[in-house]
Amino acid sequence: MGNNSFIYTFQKGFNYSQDGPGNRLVYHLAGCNFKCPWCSNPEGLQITDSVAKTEIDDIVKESLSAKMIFIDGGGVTLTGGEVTCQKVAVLTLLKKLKENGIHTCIETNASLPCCEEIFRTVDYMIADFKSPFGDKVFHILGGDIETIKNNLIFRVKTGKPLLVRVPLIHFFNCGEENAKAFGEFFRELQTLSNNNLFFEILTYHEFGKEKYTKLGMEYSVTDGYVSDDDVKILLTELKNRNLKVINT
Amino acid sequence: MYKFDPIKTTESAKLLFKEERAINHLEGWFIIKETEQKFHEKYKELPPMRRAAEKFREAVKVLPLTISDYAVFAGTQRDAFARSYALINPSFRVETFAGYCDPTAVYDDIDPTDEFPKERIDALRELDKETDYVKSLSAVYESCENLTGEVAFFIEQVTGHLIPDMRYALKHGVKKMLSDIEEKQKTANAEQYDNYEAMKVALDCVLILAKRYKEIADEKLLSADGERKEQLKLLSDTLAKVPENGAETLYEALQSFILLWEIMCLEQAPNPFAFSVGNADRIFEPYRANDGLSREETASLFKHFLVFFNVADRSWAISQNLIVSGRDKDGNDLTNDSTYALLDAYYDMNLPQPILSVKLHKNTPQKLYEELGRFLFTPGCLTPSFFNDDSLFKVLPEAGIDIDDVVDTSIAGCQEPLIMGKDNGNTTNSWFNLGKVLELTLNNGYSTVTGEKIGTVCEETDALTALKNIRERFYKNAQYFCDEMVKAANGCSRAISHLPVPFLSTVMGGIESGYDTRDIVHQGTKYNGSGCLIHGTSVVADSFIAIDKLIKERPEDAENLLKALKNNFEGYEELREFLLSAPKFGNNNEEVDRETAELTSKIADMVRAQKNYLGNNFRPDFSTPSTHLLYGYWVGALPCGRKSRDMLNYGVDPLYGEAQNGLGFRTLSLMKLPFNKMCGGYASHFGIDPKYFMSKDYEGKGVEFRDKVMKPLFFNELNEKVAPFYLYVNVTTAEILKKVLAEPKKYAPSGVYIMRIHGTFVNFLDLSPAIQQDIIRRLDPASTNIGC
Repeated sequence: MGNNSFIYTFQKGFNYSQDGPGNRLVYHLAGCNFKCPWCSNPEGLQITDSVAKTEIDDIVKESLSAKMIFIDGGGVTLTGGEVTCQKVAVLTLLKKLKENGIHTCIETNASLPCCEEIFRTVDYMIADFKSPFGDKVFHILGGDIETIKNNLIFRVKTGKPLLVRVPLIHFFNCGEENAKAFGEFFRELQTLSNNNLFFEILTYHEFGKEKYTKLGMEYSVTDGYVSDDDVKILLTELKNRNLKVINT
Repeated sequence: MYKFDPIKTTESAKLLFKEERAINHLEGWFIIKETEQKFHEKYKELPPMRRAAEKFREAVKVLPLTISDYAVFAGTQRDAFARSYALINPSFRVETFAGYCDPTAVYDDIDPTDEFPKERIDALRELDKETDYVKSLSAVYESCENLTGEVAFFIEQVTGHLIPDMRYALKHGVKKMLSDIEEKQKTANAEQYDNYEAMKVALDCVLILAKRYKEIADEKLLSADGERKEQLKLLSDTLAKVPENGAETLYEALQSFILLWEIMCLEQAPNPFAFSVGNADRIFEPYRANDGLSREETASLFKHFLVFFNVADRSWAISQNLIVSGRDKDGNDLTNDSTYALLDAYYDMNLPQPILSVKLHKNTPQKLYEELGRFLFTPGCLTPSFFNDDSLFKVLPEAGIDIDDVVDTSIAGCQEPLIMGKDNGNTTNSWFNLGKVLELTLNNGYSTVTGEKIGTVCEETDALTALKNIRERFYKNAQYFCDEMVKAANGCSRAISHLPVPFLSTVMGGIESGYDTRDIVHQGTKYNGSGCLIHGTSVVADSFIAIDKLIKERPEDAENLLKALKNNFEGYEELREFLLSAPKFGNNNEEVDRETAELTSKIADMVRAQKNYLGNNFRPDFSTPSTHLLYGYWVGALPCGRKSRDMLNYGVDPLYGEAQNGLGFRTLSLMKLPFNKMCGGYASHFGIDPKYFMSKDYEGKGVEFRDKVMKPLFFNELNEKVAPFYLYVNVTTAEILKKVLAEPKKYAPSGVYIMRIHGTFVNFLDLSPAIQQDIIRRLDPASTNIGC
């Protein structure tokens, strides 16, 4: 996506702390390069006629008018879909928001190359790290694990805050073997960081399931829910490695 | 001394409520009125206040009394109320509701029986029609029939709707109040002296009541055994002590309060709606602390206290507000152990009355939010309404309240802030329908609903000129209707003064002033004003903006717009779509938000400048307690695209369906309004979808609620204006409520599913269908979405 004056969005709203620090105005950007079967926003996977094409300057204007409720260190969060699918426009928007004194955050799968400028610019970055195993990332999600790892390493090295999230899905990334592999890579990140690296475990939910029916799509996940024990296994692994695990 | 077992006391409270809900007839009010009428001749030569007190005392002597086997306290409100309140009446219909303007309509709310045959009911009705009160009130309604018929405004005599301050009576007892009065009589003028005599008689009524209940307790004692015997012994001993003397224990304080409250309500039978308790946690905490009762023990006694506020099968005593928590003048938090015990009692009982409010401020402890989480996130559970005490400490002094009194701000009825025991606000005296005013302005004074001529003070002109000058013409007419409304509203206040309230006056500053709370010449209570509930701000502001758009883009359609409004847009669908595409309040749009704020400000000033019967200012109150439906029914199509007879916007909120961008943007629009001018109160409702709250437990969700909803709205350091001070929420979705209606036995097995409508909460299943559907419609996902 080469245009840098429009952003394609499919949803917007406010949220507190779960999409970055404080109270935030959250824009969901359309288009995604992944095909996660549990995606809770299937309506945003593609840039279709039904998504909103909004001038970047209008988003900046709207963000400025909402500044009053960016309490507790809040600001604007761009999420998806996958924000880096519109990387030129996203970078433009992030820079303009920052010029206007608005705190910025992105939520990304960190799987696309050549996004360093975005990762260097944004104030707060949230990255999903869905599996430590390249074959699963490739076959089930459609991504390249080395690119993801390199992007996370790049962000960590900038010294700016990075929250790495693991969406725990029972059939996909649970159990001792996964936990150990997650822990090993996260520990590697930790050695490069300056205390601005955080981890969070999210558990599977089906909030988006009804949307699939409405969109005429099939929801294929039947074994997603995780138990308290599943969470505990990964949590113990992360804590044993002295990683900073938070709940947003 | 007998010690109440919390578990058993809770069980009996629940059985007591069940017993109360089985009562489907109310005749006590009739006996009171009939007895008073019977003694009219005997006391007719006495001064009015004394005459009222003597007649009332005769009624208190003969009113049939009982004590339930499940009761731990003596007292009921049952005999003070008729089965009248429309919104919980199954026969209520928006189409036929005429307001409460016929004071003898209450006689239709009693079903004839062998004991109360039709002839007996009709005889009293006819006598009532001849009273000064009914005659003068009827004359007021007749004088403005043309203007109230399609509700350009409405007016009413205000009963109830006050917050007594019972603390002195609880602490010192009625005996001390009587001696205080005698002391005051030494320096009183003749009128005050007579008034004080009346107050003494009225206070004697509560002593008679206590004595009569004690006799019943003693009689029951004769056949009681075991634990019940001990309870009845305590009850009998307590009734011998209070309210005549000061209370020392929580049990005594609650018993004393109940009898004082009962007399206060009986004095205004049959419609003492919306009397409110005040800061109950502060009232009772000294006694709890003196007892050293545990939270569980305290809560179990409060459970019986809460049941007292429920009358018969539909909890007919509506809008009785009880408030907890809050701050002092210096910002220190005043939450105490009784606050949490009251919350426990509320949560476990989940009753339709009394309605719960919570005063919050920036230093409210996190624990309180944690404890509130269970109310918000348990389906079908009552939810408190929230007040921003920090804002009230700014708004009320600006309206003339002494800063030292603001700490005693409580809520009367739905959301009107009044000072406990010091403020006679006549809160629901007048009702102003801006939507109707706009319709009449656009149609040269004729109703587009019925074609009737109602009135305008603007000269007839061509369509384009009229639209170009719409603001000037609208405000000119608004001033005219406002003036007429105030004349009529003051007439209602003068009419109700024919029914003095000597007992109420003793807990509303009357012992200090020597005058009746309803006196129209001398001010009996420290603060006095009259309320005006203002309807339709955002539909009118949206209409102004839509008219601007039409003039700018399609001036040739000026005439068509007026035709379209007369035809309810039939044949003008494309024009309606054009009007609907204009910006609407509630989406953080600068232009329309500014218009709404300006309109709100101008109308608030217009109302505030009006004087009531004592020369005090009216109080602008931007709340529409389901009247956005009732009055909307009489408003024709408007330029914003709203169709004829559709609802008006609720309170200060956007019209249903117009806030398309979720709660965050609604919050931003809301915060631009001039809350500093809303000294009479206002209403705002957020429907909140529970799925946006991710914490696993109620406590965590309560804190999330603070962070996601309350902090941005109420305690926002980036907001330089006076922050909003009221909010009520329903944490649910339209889908959930539709399921409850479809399968009530599955989703509300107890038959009670509490929801909030305007300031009060009600059993959703008791509501008339029109009100049920209104609640569902205003939970539209586009305006309630708070996350993504």
